[in-house]
Order: sequence, then structure tokens, then C-alpha cells
Amino acid sequence: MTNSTDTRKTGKNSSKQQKKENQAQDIRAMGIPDSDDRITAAANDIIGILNVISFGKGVWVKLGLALSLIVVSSASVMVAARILGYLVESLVKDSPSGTTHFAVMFIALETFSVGCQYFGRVILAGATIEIAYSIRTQLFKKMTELPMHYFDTQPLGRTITRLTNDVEGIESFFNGTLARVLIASINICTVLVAMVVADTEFGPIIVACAIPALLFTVSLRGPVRFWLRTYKKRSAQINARLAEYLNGISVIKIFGLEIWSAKTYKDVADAQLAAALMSTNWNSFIRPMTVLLCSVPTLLVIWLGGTRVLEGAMELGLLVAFVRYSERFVSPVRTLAQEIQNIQEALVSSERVRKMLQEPDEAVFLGPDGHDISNIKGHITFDRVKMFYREDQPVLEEVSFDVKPGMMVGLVGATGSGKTTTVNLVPRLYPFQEGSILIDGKKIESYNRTRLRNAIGYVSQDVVVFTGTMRENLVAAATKTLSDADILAACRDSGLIDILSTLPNGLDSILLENGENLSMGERQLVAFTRMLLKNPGIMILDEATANIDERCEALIQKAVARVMAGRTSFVIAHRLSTIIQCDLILVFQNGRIVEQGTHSELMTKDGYYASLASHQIKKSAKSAADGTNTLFS
Amino acid sequence: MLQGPLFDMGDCIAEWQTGFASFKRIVEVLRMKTLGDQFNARTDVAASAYSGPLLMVKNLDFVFPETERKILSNINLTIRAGARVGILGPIGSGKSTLMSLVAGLVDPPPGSMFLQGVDLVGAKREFVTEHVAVVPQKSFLFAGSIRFNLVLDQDYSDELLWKSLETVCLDQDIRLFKEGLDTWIGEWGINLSGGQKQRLALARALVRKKPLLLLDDCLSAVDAVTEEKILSNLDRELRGLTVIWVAHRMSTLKKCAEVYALDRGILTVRRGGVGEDANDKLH
Repeated sequence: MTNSTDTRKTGKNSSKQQKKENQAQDIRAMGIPDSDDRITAAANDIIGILNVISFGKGVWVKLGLALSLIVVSSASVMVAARILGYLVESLVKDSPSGTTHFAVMFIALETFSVGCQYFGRVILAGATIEIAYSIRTQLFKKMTELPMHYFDTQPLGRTITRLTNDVEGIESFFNGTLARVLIASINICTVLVAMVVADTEFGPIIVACAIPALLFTVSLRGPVRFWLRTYKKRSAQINARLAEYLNGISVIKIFGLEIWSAKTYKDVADAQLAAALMSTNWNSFIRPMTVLLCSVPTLLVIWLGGTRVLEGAMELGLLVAFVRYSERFVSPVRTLAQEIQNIQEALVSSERVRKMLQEPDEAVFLGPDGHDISNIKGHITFDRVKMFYREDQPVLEEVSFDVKPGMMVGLVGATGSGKTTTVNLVPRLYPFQEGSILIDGKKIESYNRTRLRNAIGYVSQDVVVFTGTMRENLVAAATKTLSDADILAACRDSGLIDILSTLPNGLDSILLENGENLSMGERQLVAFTRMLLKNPGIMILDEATANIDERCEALIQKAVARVMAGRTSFVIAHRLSTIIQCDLILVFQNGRIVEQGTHSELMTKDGYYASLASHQIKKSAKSAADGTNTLFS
Repeated sequence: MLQGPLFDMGDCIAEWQTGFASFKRIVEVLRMKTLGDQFNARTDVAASAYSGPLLMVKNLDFVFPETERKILSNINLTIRAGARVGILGPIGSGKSTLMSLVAGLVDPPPGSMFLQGVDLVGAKREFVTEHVAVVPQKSFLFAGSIRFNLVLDQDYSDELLWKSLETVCLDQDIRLFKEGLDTWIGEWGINLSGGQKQRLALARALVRKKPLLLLDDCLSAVDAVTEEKILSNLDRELRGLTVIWVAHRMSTLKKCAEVYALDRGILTVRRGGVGEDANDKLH
């Protein structure tokens, strides 16, 4: 997808520009295909359809059974049509035994057809639901396996569109389109064959007349797909915009941006509307045209056949059969014309779903998963680690340090100097390009990722709180089942018990999404209690105490000190008081460690750290006494 | 001829049901009471020759209708134009609720909050947004360029934008980006650090030059040296500006001449400079 270019328009005229850009791009990309393109397009279509069908893996038997039942049902209707012809003939010839004979056969066949149709449809629906379910679970599993990089760069709305709309597109292909197209194609073929067989001279003429309708239907799938794809792209943009604005609703309200946001939303919605209208336009052109072209054979049958019957060159029964054939021919061609849109929709959806399924996952970004599942003691060594997201902008360079098990490491430095990136490398959230990281003397790559991450506790400034009870939120990270007594004990340790006692339902109190009904500090306490319950070997606190007032912080410091005993911990903090306690302080500047040591060592060294620390102490000597002095972020 | 439409009718019944279910849900949303309904009925207020306090809070009690918890009780507060007011309070003390009330996000009880002498309950939304700029605790930025995030629905010159970025000490960071103000942030773009996001959100509020600036602990992820610099910049360059600064640390409120403490919904005066209060234990 190339949305990045067309959405990356900035400035005050962004919306207008973007609109124009969208349209220009839509039209540019449409183009008129030359013959070579047509051949590759046809090949692509076939591959695409095979791709969609391959989603049916696992339910082949059901799918085959259902489709054969439906085909049998259609075939018996076809035979019934011929029988109706015989019935008319025997009526004309006035032979009562033949009449009853054919009438019974006709009714029996039609009933049989209905039965087959019913069971076929039921089985098909079951198979379809299974397919959709499997795609959804595949996508969700994929989502959990994607590297952080994917979520850093992909709009949320797009991922959601993949998981909902696109799955529905494929679902409707299996549920309706597949069977209808199959039946329509079989019907067309059998009708054509039946006509040729029934009258070798008359049949081929009729068949030849059907060719324009078929060609017309097939040749117009290009623009239909193009506008459908555009439509889907714009829908995804709408979802992305919606997700963003809902997220930022408080900012929109605070700044009175309601009209502005409605306008920018309207631009995306307008682009979607335009694409929807274009795709509808094509359809409303294709459908009546197909019906018109399809009526040509019927007209010919009645005109030519009627003349021949009057001349006595053809039997009336055959004419009746031919009329029924051409009717039978019209409806599948019409179906095909309609289904072309649905097929294209399924192709577009499957393309998008497949693209997400084929996104390089963590194994590609981070290399194959390791197998080591031994317990982690927490001896961590960084050796000349270099890391970048973009090659020309290294984020970390020559980062080396050695942390013994149980040490408390403080990371200090200005915003963007590489502290967070460094701690993110420990749970392997991002790959690094040079150097090595050892945990307990073994390469970090040799560890099983899930196992490694389970051994790490992570608390950041943004706490994830999901809708559910306090209990569910607290045990979310725990690796074993916990009793209420365990949970309450941890709450007492973290100080969360104070907040818990003010809640009407205690552990059963419902927390809202993002912890809307908790204050920032309360969320922080939830996160800490969660970590106490998880009991990890390595703790990472990333600016975790920034939003906690002194009263709670004292409680948390105590709790954290308790969990940190015997565990390696990394602390990115503001407070000088927190940093002073650390066994090792890493001072970051522009992605490099410029100094490391204990507080007193660094103060004696009288370098960068000392200058900043003493500057702070001097600046607000009184606050320092209160322990509220801050150092770096 | 008859068969086809009959089949279609069968399909229609199923689609009809889905359609109606969806329609019902949409109508439910459309019928919800909106802020617009609340505010549109109100009249415009001419705040021309007003010289009283910028913000007055009188005997304010506040309980969220959904919960029984009393968030604020009997708050009295008078804020003169140009004042620097700090509000200090622990977790769950009601700070953020008080901010939402002043920002006009939540309606106060009638007769309890007056902005420019106008009862907030009677004022149009535009009146509030014209007078108050808020920097929320959690900074939210749109996916777009830095310029886009600063300008939004307005029209500011680059000069003004850079000036506000200088005030929040973000100009140097941005000059390092190859595309400067046009650097794309958020989805599809680069990730700013927590501190950079907060400073950008502050710049967005500053460039709007509203008389009342609400800072809801908005520099929590900014390092102390920078925070200090920003504080003195604000003090120097925005003399006429009225600032209400909510924080949970006394050190953040150094520049505030008046400091109040909020605890469990009760506001107490701790007037005076930080120096006198810094060593007081809150609890």
C-alpha cells in the first residue's frame, strides 16, 4: 500500500491537497491496460482466486461435499428442463401414460433438487464459518507475533480493518459467491452443450450469440476491481482516522476542534464516497448491459425456432426445451456479472489479509527463536551494542556494561539519549545490529523469547488497564494461578490496598478501558502490584514513578525494594533519591554511555553526571532535603 | 419469472432483520444527549468591560452521577488575571476533575464556577475554548507533521510556532530533524519520546495565547534541567498569562506564588512561595 505518500500531506491546506491527491492517484492508477497487461492481469486473477480458495484449507471435504450437492441440485433442475420438453411433446401427441410418466419424473427431480440444495447450503454455511474463524484466529496470532516495529508504524485503524472488514469479504466469498459462480459456470456450460447436442444446426448459432455477453462480463472486471480496491483503501483510512480521533477526543474538545475534526473526517469520507459511487456506477452499467446481451439468444430461439416449428422443420417440444435453456442461460450469466464484483471484493480482501499474514514477524526481525529455557539469574552484559532503526541514524553506539545478578542499575541522560532503547533490548522488543548481549553468560538470542520475557517485569509510565475487574487486571501478567489472599497480600505490599478499600466492590470493582476511572497514580499502583504478583527475575522501571505523589511513592519504593532484592533491575527515573541508591549508574549522551559507576564514584570523577547532579542540588537545596529533587528524565 | 423474485424476497427478510438491528443501534447513538444540545441553547456573552477575578469557584461540590464517590466538596477559589496558581494533591484527590470542570469538559453545578464573571453553566462552549487552553496529563498528538499538530484548525506563522517551541525548549530537538516542522510524527512517522511529546503538547497550548492556561502535571516526563528552563521561560515571556498548574510534587510549583493543596476533594490554602512549603510533609 502506498497510502503513506498520499496521507503525508501537511500544512494548513492538507485536507484539500490530500483530496486532490487522492483523486489524481485514483485516476492515474486506473490506466488503460495493454494486451500484455491483460494477460498478466488474467493470470493474476486466477492466482488470486486460487489464493482465496486456499483459505478453505482444513475444510476441503465439507466444502467439496457442499459444492457437489449444490451442483447435483442444479444438474437435476437441468434434466428436469429436458423432461418438461418431453412432457409437452407427449401432451401434444396425446399419450396419457407418457404424460404421467414424465410429470412424475419432473416432480421427483425438482424435489430431489430442493433437498440437495438445502443440505448443500447448510454444510456450506458451516464450512464458511469455520474458514472465517480460522482466518480470524490466524490474523490474531499473527498480530501477536509481529515485531514492535510494525505497530510503531502502522495505523491502528488499518489493522482493525484487516481483522474485520476483510475477513467478512472472504467469508461472503465462500458463503455465497463460490457456490453461485460454480453453479453459474456449470449451468452455462451444460446449457451450451445441451443446446448443441439437442440440435446440431440450430444449437451452435444460439451458442455463438451468447459469446458477446460472456466476453462483456469477463472483460469489465478490471475497473470494477480498481474502484473496489480504492474503496477499501479509503475505508481503512476512515477507520484509521476514527481510531485516532476517538483516542484524542479530549484534545478535540479542549481546543474546540469539533468543526475542524469533522471537516478533516469529511475529506476522508468524501474520498470513500467517490470511490463507492464509481464502483456503483460501473455495476449499474454492467448489470443491465448483461441482461440486454443475454436476451439476444432468447430472442433468436423464439424467432428462428418459431419459424422452423411453423415450417415443420423442428418439433414443438424441442422449441420449448430451447426456450427453457436460453432462460437457464440468461440467469447464470447475469449471476456472473453480479458476482464479478464479489469476486473482486474477495480478491482485494484476500490480498490484504495475505499481506498481513506475510508481514515479516519477530522471527524475521529478531532471528529464529532460541530454545534455552533455563532459569535466568540476571547477569546481563552488553558488549559494544549498536542499534538503529534507520541506518543513517544510530540510536545506540558502543554501549557496553556488565550487571551482576541482583544489581540495581540507574539509567540517566536527556530525553532521546538511548535509555529506553537500551532497556527495550533486554526483553528483545527490537533487534540490535552490532555487538552482543549476554544473559547469564549465554547469548540473548539463545533464549526462548517468551520464556525470556516472562522472566522480565516491565512497568512504564503508560499503564495498560483493560475493562474488567480489579482482580483480572492484577493477575493478567501472572504465570501461575493466584488466590485472593495472595492478591491482597501484594496489594498491601504495594499500597494499592488503600485505594482498594475506597472502592465499593474491592477486587471485584470494574475498571474501565485505559483505567479511565483511576487516576494516573492509581494506575501506576495497579502496574506495580501486577509486577509483585508476577515475581519476575529482572525488573525494568521506565519512568515509572513519574506520576506518583510522595505518599504513594514511599510505599512503592518500599515494595520495589522488596521485589528487587536478589533481582537485577533497571531503573529510568527522575529522582536523584532513586538514582543515588543504584549500584551502577549509566550516564547516556547521544546514544553512548559517557560515564558509569556508583553515585559517589561519579561525583568524585567530577564529569557530566557530577555537574548535572550538583547543579540540581544547588538549584533547589531545600527540595532535595524533601527527596523531591529530580535529575534527568 | 415468479421464482426469482420469490427467492429474492427470502433474502430480503434476512437482510431486513440485519438492517433493522443496525438501524436501531445507530439511532441509539444519535439520540444520546450531546454537548451541543447543552450548549447551543445558551446565549453569547459579551465579556468586554470586566475587571473582576478571571476565575471564581464558589462553594463547589461535585459528585459524578455514575458513582457515589464525592470528588470535590465545598471548593472556594479566586484566581486573578496574571496569577500563577499551583494545586498540589495526591492520587485521586480530585485534581483532574477540577481541571475538567474549568476546561468545560464537565458541567459544574449552576452558580459555582465563573469565568470572566460568567457562570460556566450558562456559557457557550466557544466561550470556554476561547479563554482556556489546557495541557492534559497524557499528551495526545495527531498523526501528522509537527506543524500540523501545532496549527490544527488555526493559521500561525512559522515564526510564532518556533517561538512557542523555544519557550518549551523543543526548538533544538526539531532543528535536528531533517524536515524540521514538517517532520511526520505518530503513525507512519517518527516516535517522539515521552518528554518531547509533552513539550509539543505544551507548545500547542501556548501558541494559542489563551488568557488562562491549565497545566495538568504536563511536564512529568521532562527532565528536571529542561523543566526548570521551561518554567523560567514561561515566567519571563508570558507575564500577562494566568496559569493554573496542577502537580503532585512541590518542586514543580516553584514559580507559583499561590499554592493550594487538594486532598480527598477538600481544598486548603497554602499561600506563599515554595521555599516556605518545601519541607512540609503533605501527610
